[in-house]
Amino acid sequence: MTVKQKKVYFYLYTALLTLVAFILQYNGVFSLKIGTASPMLMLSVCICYSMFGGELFSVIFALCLGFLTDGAASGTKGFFNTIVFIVLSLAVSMIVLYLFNNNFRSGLVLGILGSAVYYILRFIFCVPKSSLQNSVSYLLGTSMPSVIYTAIITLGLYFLVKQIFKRYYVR
Amino acid sequence: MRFFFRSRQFKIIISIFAGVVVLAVIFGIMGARMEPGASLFGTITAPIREASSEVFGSIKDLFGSMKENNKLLLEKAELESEVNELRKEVAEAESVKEQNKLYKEFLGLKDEHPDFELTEAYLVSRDSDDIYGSFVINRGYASGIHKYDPVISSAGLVGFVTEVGVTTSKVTTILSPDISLGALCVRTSDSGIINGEYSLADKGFTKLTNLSRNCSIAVGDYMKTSGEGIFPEGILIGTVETVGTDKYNSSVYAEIKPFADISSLKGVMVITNFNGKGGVTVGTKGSE
Repeated sequence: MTVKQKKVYFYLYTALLTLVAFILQYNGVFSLKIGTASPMLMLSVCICYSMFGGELFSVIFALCLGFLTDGAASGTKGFFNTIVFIVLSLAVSMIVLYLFNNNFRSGLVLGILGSAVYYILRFIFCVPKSSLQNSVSYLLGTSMPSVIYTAIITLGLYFLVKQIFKRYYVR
Repeated sequence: MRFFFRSRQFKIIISIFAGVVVLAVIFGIMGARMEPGASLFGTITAPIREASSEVFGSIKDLFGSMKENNKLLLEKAELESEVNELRKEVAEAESVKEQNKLYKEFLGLKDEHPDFELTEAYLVSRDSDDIYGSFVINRGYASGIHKYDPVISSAGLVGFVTEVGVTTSKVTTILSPDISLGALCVRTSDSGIINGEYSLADKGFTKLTNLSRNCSIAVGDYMKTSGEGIFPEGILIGTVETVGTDKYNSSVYAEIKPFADISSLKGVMVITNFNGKGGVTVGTKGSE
């Protein structure tokens, strides 16, 4: 396979994966929700690509994912997803490059950390808060299960994205 | 890592981040419309989301009809026994008929409110991880939609528009604590304020607060908008499911089941204009 072909396949699979995640997240009819837990698929894709793509690629990819998400998400405000995705992707790519080894365990840790940071920020900036009791209930009853669910999906996607990068990514 | 912070890559990343933050701040201050980036992607992806909703809807219907065949045989036997019970219920139906008459009167909103300018819209995406049921519709400011326009369905009040793009808008529902809406009881004229609450949103209910202690509101009463704030008067909201006393401040509250089934909405109407619109701009917590 030539370098050009590899690049074409890489961007094709990336676009396809993003499209599938986007449609599953925002189709309005079918959702992956289990009880109160709902995964943030776009975040999972963002974290996984950040683990392999390097800083600049991750940030640009996060920018595109963020814009897509902000265009469709009704539960967040303004550019929230774009900003959080950029920060998280930069943090994840730097952690993988300078602190952790890029393996299954770091995929799990970064999946949980990334999702936790996202849902905490979302709670702070986007979730309407009526009382302390409701806020605690929201964090424990909705955010926490969603963090775990998103982390599990991130872990699954980690292997898929790893294969895409291994076979088709050319720096 | 030290080299990375001095590199050109890092400068590009910081520039991108700064650009997004500046845009977010500018459009956050302007507030009225969805950000251009989000709006552009929202416009581009709206057909994809609409198409995927159609496909998933068809698949759901197909599986639904397969299940239906098996159910039919079981239901046949059950129905025979139910016929006898139904005869008894015919008598009760007379009283329900009266209620329906009242309900129909309110459904004829357009006839009752000739001042309403309505725009039909369809749901293009729903945030599955938002428990308050917010969603995006396929109409934006190109169709005359503005921020804080009320959104209704054929059943009753749904919510209001919170962000407007060129061809899409975000709708916050009456289940959200972001909403603060004046409500009147149709039967007793007791007034209160509708505020969504986390613990009720999961059940699809919202909360009526600020009721006076000697109010005579009862289970089954219909609630309608009082006309204060951004919502026009007389739109049906829902029925009173329970009435209780707050354990912290002993005020009276009621749980309201909205007439509009927010979790399964497909089409809605946006009230783009009505008599008295713009007179009062406060009516939602997010509007200050």
